[in-house]
Amino acid sequence: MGQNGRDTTDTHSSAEQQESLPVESAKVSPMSLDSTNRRERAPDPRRRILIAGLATTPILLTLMNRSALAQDVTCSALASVVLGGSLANLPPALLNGQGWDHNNVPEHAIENMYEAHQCKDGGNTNSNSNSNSNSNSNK
Amino acid sequence: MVHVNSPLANVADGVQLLYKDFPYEVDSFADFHVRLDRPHNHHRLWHPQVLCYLNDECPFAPLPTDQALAVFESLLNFSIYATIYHFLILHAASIERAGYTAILPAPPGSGKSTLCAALVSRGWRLLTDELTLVSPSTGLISPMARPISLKNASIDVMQQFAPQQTFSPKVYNTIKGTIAYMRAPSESVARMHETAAPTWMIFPKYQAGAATSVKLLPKGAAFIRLSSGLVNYSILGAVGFEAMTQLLERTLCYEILYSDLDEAMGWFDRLPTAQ
Amino acid sequence: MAGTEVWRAANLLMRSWDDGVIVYNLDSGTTHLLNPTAGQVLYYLADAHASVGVLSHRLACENDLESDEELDHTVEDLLKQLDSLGLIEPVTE
Repeated sequence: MGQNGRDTTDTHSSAEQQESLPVESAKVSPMSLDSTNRRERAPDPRRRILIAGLATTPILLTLMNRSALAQDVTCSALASVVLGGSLANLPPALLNGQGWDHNNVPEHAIENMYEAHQCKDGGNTNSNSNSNSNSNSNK
Repeated sequence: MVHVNSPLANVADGVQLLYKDFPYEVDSFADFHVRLDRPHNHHRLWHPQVLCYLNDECPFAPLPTDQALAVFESLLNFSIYATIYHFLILHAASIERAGYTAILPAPPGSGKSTLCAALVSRGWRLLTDELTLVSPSTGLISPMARPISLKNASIDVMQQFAPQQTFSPKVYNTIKGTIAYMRAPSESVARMHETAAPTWMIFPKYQAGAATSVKLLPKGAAFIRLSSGLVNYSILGAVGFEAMTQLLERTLCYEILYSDLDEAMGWFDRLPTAQ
Repeated sequence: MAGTEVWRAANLLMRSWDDGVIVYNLDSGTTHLLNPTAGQVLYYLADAHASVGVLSHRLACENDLESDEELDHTVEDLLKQLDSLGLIEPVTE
């Protein structure tokens, strides 16, 4: 009802404005009237805000779902989670064939889990010596 | 309760130093059985390595023997990651004073442990340095009061800042560089069965040369920041969601950027009066 | 997507904060953070089934605006995104 009321009011307002135009204004050209109409349809800031809110990156964050971690914690399972995060820290053998979709997996959690676990490479022991050379982060 | 078994002197010495104030029993029931030992191959003597076992499972690759203390601490963290599902676990430090509790979630390089160690050395109770356990049903934090892990330059910074504290020997060439541990104050250990209600969620960020600045974070932004430090959120499902949202709704969330430790601590000192 | 298609929210938990709406999908286990406007649309669909036209009209009313084609298209695009994320589903009954 409110919308209809507003519509009616707006329509009546336009008609009233046109009827009350001074004589001089009644002599304006059709182009000027078009300009007037365009001004009346000028974008409302509230409309711009609403459209922007609906259209501009409405989805900010998608976190990982339960399937990535809902299994016994073994190194192979961890590797599939780790792949979404710090690839630079992975041993090469773990980069292939894991096939998990890790969009938006929180990288920090992955780094810490990997560092804590230092997973074996496919069941073979893997010396950690190659991983140490670039470790100089402060905490 | 953790049962520790190791013939390695650096493990025994480290545990005795860092867990001096913890209660211990001999041959009692234990939640976790931890064993660190040399492998039964040529690495027993040549380029000696250490293998670690949690409840007879070996989750880690072998590492040089002189890193055994760091392996032990990592193994304890792993035991929590891998088995504790009745708490929401955050990768964060937590400290408490006068009934007010601050959670410090921490991406690498944030300076979280340094800040935590400094605050603890000035009277804040250490609840935890690494893993904050939040009860989904009560929202309370269960402390662990384990040693605080310091890395690289932070070790010397803290040894100069708080020379009265007890530090382990440095462990070199780990995946994170050089590590040393600061023992938790005796009072923190004595009170580790006292749960704490979180008051603030404070995201620290160390940046060399930066002036100390603090800003209030809205809840959604805090959730995004916190998401990088969620350990078992996904496993908990709806329970985890409820626990997270309630945690954020019960706390004021801040971000603090700092380079001067004293200035940052000054801001923390003013926190209770600002409430 | 047909403009007359009717939509409803999926099986969700939601919390509304100043800077957005945090959403947990009980069926998929995923968590999302929507800006307040997109979150409001999801709340509408959690309250009642609605088509693009109904949602557009409701949004316009609540913002003291008139609904138009641009708003309809924007709402339609948003619903496509929400559908692709599994946060809404068509009503088939």
